[in-house]
Amino acid sequence: MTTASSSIPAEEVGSFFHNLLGLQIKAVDCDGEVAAAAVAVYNDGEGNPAGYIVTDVACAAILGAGLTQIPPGIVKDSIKDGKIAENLCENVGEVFNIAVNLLPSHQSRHFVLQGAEYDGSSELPSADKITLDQSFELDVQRYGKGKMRLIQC
Amino acid sequence: MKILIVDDSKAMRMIVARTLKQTDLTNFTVIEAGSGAEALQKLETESPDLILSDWNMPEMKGIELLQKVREAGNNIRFGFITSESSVETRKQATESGAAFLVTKPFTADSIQAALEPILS
Repeated sequence: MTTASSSIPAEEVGSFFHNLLGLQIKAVDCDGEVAAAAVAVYNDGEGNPAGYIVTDVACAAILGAGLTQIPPGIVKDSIKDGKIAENLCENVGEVFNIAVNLLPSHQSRHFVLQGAEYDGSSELPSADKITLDQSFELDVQRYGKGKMRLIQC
Repeated sequence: MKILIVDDSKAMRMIVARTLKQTDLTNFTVIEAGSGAEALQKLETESPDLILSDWNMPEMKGIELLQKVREAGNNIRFGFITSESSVETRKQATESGAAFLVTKPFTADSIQAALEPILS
């Protein structure tokens, strides 16, 4: 699900990951469902879940592999297996740690990464609690395309 | 010049080292520590000229590492490379004696801009 209005420009998301991975990245808004494979949960300064980043298998694998320039074959393997390769999870966690800066209220509400799940089992907040919900498709040089959803409560 | 990179993430230590090599800075070697405790050991045994430290690390945070270094009377140049970017964090870093704080994700340009004033 995505909100009608976009408060995080897709270009900003693309630029953020370009700076992180050092690769050419094009990010565009997307309306399709993001099949949750990796979910990062961010708590606010009072310890309440307040932000989420959800990725599909491809996006998590691409970001995890791209972070330390692991050959792209591992992304294809992850997609084929339907789960993120185990040796990518630490890298994906590091990406999630840094990606807190994409959530608009991260500074004012002191968001901190509380944890990440890599089996898509994390429960997401109900629609009535969500104040921002945007999805993007990232096209990463050499690694391919994947989807990401940013949620804020 | 010897630069000590302190981060509990091996991936991030690698990225910082890689990015340093992409700057115009020359004549430096990189050593690494995966924790504040290891950094304090390397400070004794390796005598680095500059520490680049993460902020959020288990057991000993980067700011605690800086405070321990300064309490020991060591005035080594010290900067943070972290996903923390709040005004409070920057203030605490500066007041504790850090020369700069670079926010992740960083670029070769942002690292160079932070390092040049203290290395010149």
